[in-house]
Order: sequence, then C-alpha cells, then structure tokens
Amino acid sequence: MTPEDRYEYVKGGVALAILGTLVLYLYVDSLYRGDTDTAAYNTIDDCLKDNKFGADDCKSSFEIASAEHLKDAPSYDKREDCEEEFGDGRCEQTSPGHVTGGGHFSPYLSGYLIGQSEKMVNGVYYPAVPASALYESRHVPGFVDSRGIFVTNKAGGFKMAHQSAALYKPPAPTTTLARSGFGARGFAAS
Amino acid sequence: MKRIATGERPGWIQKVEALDFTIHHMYGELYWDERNAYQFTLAQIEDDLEDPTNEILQLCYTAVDRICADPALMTRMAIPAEFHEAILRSWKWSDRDIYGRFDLRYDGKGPARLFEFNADTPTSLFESAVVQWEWLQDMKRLGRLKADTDQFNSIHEQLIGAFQHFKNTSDSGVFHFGCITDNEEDYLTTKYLADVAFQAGFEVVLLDMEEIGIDPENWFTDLEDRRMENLFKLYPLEFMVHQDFGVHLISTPTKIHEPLWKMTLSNKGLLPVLWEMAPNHPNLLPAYFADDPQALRLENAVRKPLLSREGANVTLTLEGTTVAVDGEYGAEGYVVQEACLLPQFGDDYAVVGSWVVAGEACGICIREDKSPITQNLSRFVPHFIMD
Repeated sequence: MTPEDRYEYVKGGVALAILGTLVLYLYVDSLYRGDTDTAAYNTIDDCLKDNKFGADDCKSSFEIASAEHLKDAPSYDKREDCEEEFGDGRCEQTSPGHVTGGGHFSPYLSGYLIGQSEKMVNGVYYPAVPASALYESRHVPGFVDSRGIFVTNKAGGFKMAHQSAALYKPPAPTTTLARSGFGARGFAAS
Repeated sequence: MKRIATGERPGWIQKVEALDFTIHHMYGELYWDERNAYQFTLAQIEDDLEDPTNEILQLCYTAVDRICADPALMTRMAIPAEFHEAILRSWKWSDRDIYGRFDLRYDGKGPARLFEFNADTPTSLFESAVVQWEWLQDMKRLGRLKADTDQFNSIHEQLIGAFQHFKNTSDSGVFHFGCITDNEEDYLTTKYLADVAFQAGFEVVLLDMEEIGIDPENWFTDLEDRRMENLFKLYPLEFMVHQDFGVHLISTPTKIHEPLWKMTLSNKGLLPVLWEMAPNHPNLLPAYFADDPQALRLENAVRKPLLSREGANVTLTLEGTTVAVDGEYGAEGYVVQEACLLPQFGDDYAVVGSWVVAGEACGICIREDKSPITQNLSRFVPHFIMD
C-alpha cells in the first residue's frame, strides 16, 4: 500500500495533503508559542538577592530541585568518570533514594532552575518550566539539567526558548500510586 | 450510489485473516460482508460526501468554541461541572484531535444528512483504512473490477501524518495506547492505531485501561512505571470522568487523545447546537433538546440519549410506527432529531460513515443493518468509485 496509488483521484494526491497539514502545524506552533521568563541560581540566597522572584518561589523551586537531585542526578559507576564530566572533587556517592539504587557517583547539585507554570497571555502560549536541578559540566558553559541537556549559559534571569528540550521532562520511571482507576467493563466503542 | 453484487472472493476469509483482521464474524454473525459493494461516482464522493464532511467538521469546531464558553450549555449536555474549565483549557491550548466518524444518511441523490458524530471512540477504522483497500486491490487483480476503479480512502496516510506531527513535538518518543483488551473489536482498532504510530517513528506501548496507573504528580503511568507523555484511549471520556481516576484528567500533564474538548462533540447535544447555529443547513436535520418545546413539533422523530453508543436506547417514530432499541443509556437526557429513514438496498438499510483524520475528510465506510437503527450487528460493506 503506497500513498501514491491510494488516492489517485484527488487532485495532487496525499503527499500534498500531508505537507499542507504540516505547514499549518508549524505556522500555528510558531505563532502562538512564547519564550518563558525564568532564572537559574546557584543558591537560594542568590535568588533572594536578585529580587526577581518571591522568597516562596526561590525556596519551593530549590526544594523540588533538591528532591530531583537525590533521585535523578546523573550517575556514574566510577568516581573518575563523574569527575571527568563535572570536575575533580565535585562528585559524591549517591544515596539509596537514587533511581539507580545508590552507591554510584553523582555531581554535587550546583544550581537550580526556577519553575514557572504555563501561561496564556494575549493569545500567546508560554510553556511551563519545570523547577529542576542544575549541574555545571566541564565541557559546557553554564548549566545542564539532570539529563545533561543544556539549560542556560550563566546564572540569573533568562528566557527559556519554547522549543528547548529542557522544558520537557521525559517519561522516566516514577512511582505508581494506584492502578485500576479506569476501565469498568460493559461498554462497546462505536 | 448503487449496490452491486460483486460476490465474495474465493478464500476471502484467509485473505482478510492474512491482514490480521480476525473479526470478519462477530457475535456469531457475518460482519465483513463482501457479497455486495457500493459503487459511487466521483461527483457523489467529492460533492456530496467529501465537501459536506469538511463543512460539517468546520461547523463542529465552531460549535466547540460555543459550547466551551457556555457552562450552562455544557451542563445541559450532561458534562460534569468540575470538568468545564479543563475542557475549555484543552480547547484553548489547541490539544489536537486525531479522528472521528460522521454517520450520514445518503442515498446518492439528495444532500447527505448528519445523523451523528462519533467523535471520541469510533471503531471500524482498520477495516475502513486497510481491509477495504486491500479488497479493492484484490478485486482489480482478479479482474472483477476495472483497473481504474478507485476508492475514497486516504485514512491510513492521514493517520500517519497526524502521528508524525505528534512525533515532531514529542520528547519521549513513546506513545501509549489503552483499551479494553479483551474486546476484540476495540483491541483491533487500537492495535491498528498503535501500528500507525510505530510507522510514524514512535515506540508504542499498548495496555488495558485497568493497567493504567497514576503517579504523585498526576502523570498516568504504564506497567513499567514510566510516565506517559501521550495516551490514546479507545474508551469513552464520558465514562472516564466518572471513574476513580477521572479527577486526574483535569490536571494530568499526560496528553490524552482524544483530548477533553472532544466531550463537547461526542455527545448528541451537539446536534441541536449545530441546528441552532446553522438552521436549514442542507446537511443537517432539525434537532432539539428533548425539553425544548420545539421538539414536540417533530411528528416523525428519533429520540436519542445524549450519551449512547451502537443505537442503544434510540427510539424512531415514523408515520405512527415506532422502532425502539433497548439499552442502559439515557439517564442524562435526550435529544430529538427529525426522522429521516436510511435508504434501503434490498432488505438492508445502509449508513455512510465519513472519516475525518487530523481535520480532513479522508474516506468512507458503509454499514448495513436489517434495522433502520444501525446497531452493533451491522455489517461492513466495501465501496468503490467508478463513473
């Protein structure tokens, strides 16, 4: 089954129809999405001094970042591999709460990203920024997140590009609290 | 539009089973029925089905705008109040819908008339997109249909395009699918969509609705405790909102397909809303909420529950005769639509299902039933285009 012979009679065929759809999607995406204002700081004090965010924001984002760090910090089997990436003396052993079960090596938490909820302002959609643990790699200026994705090149406020991969948290293993909350039988789709 | 006795292909059961199409019989009766096929002219397809389908779809999108902005109307449509805001949000943020099927009354002559819109959980997708297409190719190879015979069917390509779009904006590269896996028809439809997603570049995971989990941050999770970035569910949103995890639909970061705003379309309350927005539209039938005084003026009328599937609890009154189908729906209220009998071909009533994928009309399917109310024992009959 090929697109070419599927839909002979329609003017121009399927390829054109799909292209048209994609062009529309790209147009809409670029038109309605904005870059979200946020900031990266090394410490809560730096955040408070900068006066861009309230004390609550400074602290709650740090707490989320710290929790993420304990669980999801980049981890290496060998200390030297960790130090090669993050610098000599800048790595520690992971605790049992880490997703890998602990006993490996992770960089120190060196900063955090201030979380922002998603907003719609004047018809422009500003995606949410997740509060995140940040790390300083020897090989990348500025900060990367726990997945090694580049976030910003220096501490302080910045606009997070709406296309940035750092905005998206992957479907990593999490803790399932419950199942069987959907799916009562006795219905048929139509 | 004619019904032609094209005849079953020798070994047709093996041929459709080779496509993994296992539901050629259901409930002990024939479901895939290639004894006959429907012939359309190109003008009938393009002018009477494709264009009106696109027009009705645009009307539906306008109706979503209207319904989402009116909590009283959503309440009248039996949409729970705690979901109103989340529905509006999913619409404003352009959560994309994948597909739907309009059921149309069409006899080849007058304008096609909208019976209803299966906007949330339509099945018969795989047989429409693939089995029907392969039937046409085989009939041409066998010389039973001419080489230039065509079919209104780019459903498969449109679906791939839709999932490629999701792939382009996906971070995880994983797409989850949920359904009632022990219902063979639902499972087949869902498996087909998962296959399409795979062809569009996704890693796919198919699981039973009951296996879906929830994590502390409201993400839906799979059996490996992975967060779902995208979840397609062949399971009615209007059931989900009332179930234990329903409340999580309001705030989950998981993208649900179809999105929540589809609840405004997958509801017979759409029919009176459309009629009010576009009275006397040639492709619509007069329709009112049952408690609207104007409903009483319809002498020949069909009474349909706001939420129902496969003809359940539908009552048809035509020239003093009443046909009714039992069922367990209707508690939420009814709409009344002017009765318009399906055309008969032989002893069978035929309804045209008109598919929309990613906002485009892209194919049809015909289902026949002995009853003028199409139900779950209806038979799928293929079609072709030949002027």
